[in-house]
Amino acid sequence: MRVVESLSWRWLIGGGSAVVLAIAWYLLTGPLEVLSPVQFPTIEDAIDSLSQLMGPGYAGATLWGHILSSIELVLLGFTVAVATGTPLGLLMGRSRVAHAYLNSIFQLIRPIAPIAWIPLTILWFGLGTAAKVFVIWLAAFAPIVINTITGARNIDPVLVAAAQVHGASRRHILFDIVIPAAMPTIFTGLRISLQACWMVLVASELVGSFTGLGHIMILATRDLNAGMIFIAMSCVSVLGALSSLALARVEHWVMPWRP
Amino acid sequence: MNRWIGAVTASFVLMLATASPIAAQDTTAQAYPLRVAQQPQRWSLAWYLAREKGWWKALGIEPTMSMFASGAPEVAAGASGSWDVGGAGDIPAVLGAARYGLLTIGIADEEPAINTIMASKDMAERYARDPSLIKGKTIPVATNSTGHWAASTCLEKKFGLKPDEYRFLNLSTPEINAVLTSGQYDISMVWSPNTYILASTIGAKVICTGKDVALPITSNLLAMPSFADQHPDIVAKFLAIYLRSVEWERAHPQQTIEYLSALYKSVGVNIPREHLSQEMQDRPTFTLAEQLKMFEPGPGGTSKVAQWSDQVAEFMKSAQIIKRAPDVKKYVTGKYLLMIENDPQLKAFAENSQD
Repeated sequence: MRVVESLSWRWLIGGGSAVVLAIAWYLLTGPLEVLSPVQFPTIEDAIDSLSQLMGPGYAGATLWGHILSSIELVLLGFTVAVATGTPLGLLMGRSRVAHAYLNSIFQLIRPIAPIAWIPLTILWFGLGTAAKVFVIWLAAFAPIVINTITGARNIDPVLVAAAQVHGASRRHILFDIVIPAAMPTIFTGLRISLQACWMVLVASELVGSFTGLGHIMILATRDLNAGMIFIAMSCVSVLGALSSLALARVEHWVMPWRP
Repeated sequence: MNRWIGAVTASFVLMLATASPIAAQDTTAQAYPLRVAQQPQRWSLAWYLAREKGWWKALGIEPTMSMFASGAPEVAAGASGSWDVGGAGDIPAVLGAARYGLLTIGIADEEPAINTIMASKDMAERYARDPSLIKGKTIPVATNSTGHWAASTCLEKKFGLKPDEYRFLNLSTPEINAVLTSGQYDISMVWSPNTYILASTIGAKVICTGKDVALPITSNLLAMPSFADQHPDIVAKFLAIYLRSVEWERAHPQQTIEYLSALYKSVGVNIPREHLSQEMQDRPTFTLAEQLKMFEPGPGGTSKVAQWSDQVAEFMKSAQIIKRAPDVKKYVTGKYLLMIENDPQLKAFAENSQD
C-alpha cells in the first residue's frame, strides 16, 4: 500500500513539474514575449513542426524515417563499441603486460573529443555510414573499456585462487568467475556508453547525412527553424531514455540475482 | 555592509552606462562601434579597402568584423543579435527576413555567373553531352544558399532533371572542396572562389551557371531591423562606405585586383592570380545611382530588387525552407540609399572615386 502511495506521489510530482514547465513555456514564448520565436519555438511552432514531420516530412524524410536512421546508427556504433571495448577491457584488466602496453595509447587517445576526429574520419571512411558509426564508436568505446578494466581488476582473488586449486582452466575462470563478477561494473559502462552514443549522434550526422535526428537539427539550424530543432532534440531525449530502459531490462535478464 | 553593496551597484551601473553604444554616440570624439558580418567573398573587399583607406574613420565608425564561412551561420548568428550590418547571399537574406525581419538595404554584387555546377575533369564533358548520366547521382550542395538555388535550377532547366532523379547532400564549402578533390564525388555545387581553386587543383570544369538559367542571384547588404530603427544614420554611413569602394574599384581596376588578392590571402583563400580579374568581371558591383534605380518602384509598384526577392522566396517555399514568403515591402528598402542621395555631404563621400 505504501509503495502504491509513493508511486502515485512520484507521478503527481512528475506530472506537476511537466505542467509548470508547459505553462512557463507558453508564457515566456507567448504573452510575456521574453523569448523570440527564432530563439525558442512557441508551443504552436513545435506542434506545426511535429505535424510537418509526421506528414509531408522535412529534410528528406518523415519523422519515422529519421528516427529509424538514428536508431540504426546508434545501435551499430554501440554494438561495435561493446564488441571491441569489452574484450579489450577484460584483457587489460586481467593481464598486467597487456595493460602496460595498451594503457598509455588508450590514455593518449581518450581525451580527444569525437567531433575532433571528423576531418580525419571523412578522409578515412568517406561520407557513408562507416564514418558515422566510427564517430559514435569513439564516444562509446572509452566508458566500456574503463569500466570493464575496473570490473575485471576488482574480483576477489580468493575466488580465482579457489577455482585454480580445483583445476579450473583459464577459459573457465574467465567465463565462470571473471565475467559474471565484473558484469555489474561492465553494465555501468554500457549505460554511460549508450548515453554517449545519443549525445554524439548530431556530431556523427555532421558527416554528410541524408536522414536522422541530427540531420534534422543541422538543417533546421540552417533554416533557423527552432520548432524543428526542438522536436528533434525531444526525440533524441525520449529515445535516449527508452534505450536506457531497454538496457536496464537486458541487465536484469543477464543478472537476475541483482535487485 | 549596505553602503558597500550600494557603492558596488553604483559603480556597476556607471560601468554599464559608459560602455553602452548610446554613451559612445554621445561622445562625438569617439568612433561608433559597428559590428559587421562578412564572408570570404569579393564584396567583403569594400570593407577591407575602407580600412586601408581610412574611410571608416572618416565617417566616425569603428568596425568589428566577424567572418562567416557562408550565409546560413551568419544569419543564424544575426538571430542572437551578434552583428548590426553585413552582407550575404539573397537566399540567407530572405531567410533572415522571414525569420526576424532582416532588412535588405543594398546590393553587394551580382552573382549568377559564379554559382555553378562543376564536374570532375573526366566527367564534365560527358555530363554536359548526356545529362541523363546525372540521374541517380548524389550532388553535394551547401543548402539554403544561392548555390543551392543555382544547382536546382540548372538541373531542372538546363539538364531536364526532376528533383527525384538526383539527391542533394548537404555539405559546407570546405567539405565540398575536400570530397571533390579526393574523388568521392564527381559533380557538385561550387561557387567562386572555390571554382578557381578546383579548376586549378583537379581540373574540374563548370558545366552550368546561374547565368545560363537566367537567375537573379545577388549578394545583399543587410541591416538588423532593431539596429536600423535606432541608428538609421549609421546604416546610411555604412552603405556610403560600400558605395565609395565601388566607385574607387571602378577607377582603379589594377589596384583593386591587388587588394582583392591581399584580402583573400588574409582570410586563407588562395586563388591563382590569373582568376582574380575573372572574379571581378563575374561579380559586378553597383554605384549609388545604379542601386537607386534597382530599388526604385517600377510601373507595377515594386522594385527590381523586390521582384528578385520574391523569386528567391518562391524557391525557398518550394524547397520547404520557409512556409510563407515574407512581405517584400517590409524588408527590401531603399530608404538608406535615399538618405545618402538626400545628404549632399554623404552623397559626395559615396560618389568619390579617389583615395
